[in-house]
Amino acid sequence: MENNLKRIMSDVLEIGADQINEESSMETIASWDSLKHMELMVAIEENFDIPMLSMDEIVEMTRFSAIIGILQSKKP
Amino acid sequence: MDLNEKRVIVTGGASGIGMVLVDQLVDEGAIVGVLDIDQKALLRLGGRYSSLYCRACDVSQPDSVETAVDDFFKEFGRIDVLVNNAGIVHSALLVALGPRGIVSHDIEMWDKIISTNLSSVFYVTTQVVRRMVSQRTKGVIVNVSSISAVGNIGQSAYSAAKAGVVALTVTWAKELGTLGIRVAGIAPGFTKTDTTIGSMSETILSNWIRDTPLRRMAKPKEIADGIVFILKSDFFNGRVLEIDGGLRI
Ligand SMILES: NC(=O)c1ccc[n+]([C@@H]2O[C@H](COP(=O)([O-])OP(=O)(O)OC[C@H]3O[C@@H](n4cnc5c(N)ncnc54)[C@H](O)[C@@H]3O)[C@@H](O)[C@H]2O)c1
Repeated sequence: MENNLKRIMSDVLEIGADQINEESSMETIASWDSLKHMELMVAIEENFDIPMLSMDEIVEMTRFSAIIGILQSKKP
Repeated sequence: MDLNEKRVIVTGGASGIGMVLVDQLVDEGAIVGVLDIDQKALLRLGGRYSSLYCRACDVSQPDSVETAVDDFFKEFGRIDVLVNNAGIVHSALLVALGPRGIVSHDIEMWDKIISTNLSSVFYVTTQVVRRMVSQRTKGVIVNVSSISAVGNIGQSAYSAAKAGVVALTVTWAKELGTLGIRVAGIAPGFTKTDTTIGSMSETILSNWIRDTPLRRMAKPKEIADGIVFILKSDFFNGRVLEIDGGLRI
């Protein structure tokens, strides 16, 4: 799941996957602005084939670790 | 996009180009909501199609827009298409020198033309797109600009508003494309609607027709055809389709 998320983030945020780690967040990745955030959320929904994320989840998912946490909570 | 069963909002759809477009959308199987300020025209339109959602709304007023869009959304559950077509024309020189001396462009009219033709597009699109985004709808927005967007003598406010519409179209296409929402525009030339014919003297009108390579005005259906073309063309995005018979102003 971590590698898959890194690949998606790397595609959307246009940075190398090796630059993404547990600590990555909207604050540490310059290209992760609000426009990219929407794109990232949609890409995550499509790639992980999960139901539409709620507004609370989207607001929460501004850190790599938080995204993993929410994705894990959605595992069947 | 296949328009069958799609939920479509057309602003200013109670007369002129918008009304002809509504006919075509209904023929394509779309579920159409018309937001228009003209209640009588809405009643006439509603009488033609029982399935049509006709709603009085002043698109230049953000509150009126929010309620109308929200009501349509609650009734039909989603919005796939928005056509920002409502508009009004006003012709006045910046400064005119005539029998009444020097007369400047009326400021109230400036504000009215900008709010009806430009701010309205911003208000309606904001309300529609936030609902599209919330449901991940891969929708389409079509903005009706004009040949006058390049700057037409005697149309400071109208030209500026329609140029603004082009800028919004390009901006939103860039912002929303990655979410699968397309935004495009159409720029009609002189089109044979009651408003256009009523807003110009016969001489001015015949001069425009003379300057048009095809020597005639567009039929409203020809503009509506262009809008339907944009809706159906899934790779048409961030561009403004000019349908003007080859006229350049
Ligand atoms: N007809 C032309 O020659 C021509 C040329 C270029 C662009 N356009 C543009 O095409 C669009 C349609 O023009 P048309 O010729 O069909 O005009 P029209 O006057 O026949 O139709 C415009 C509709 O908009 C509605 N409207 C006006 N103000 C409104 C408001 N505040 N809130 C809600 N509805 C409102 C009117 O009631 C009307 O039903 C306009 O945006 C116009 O600027 C027209």
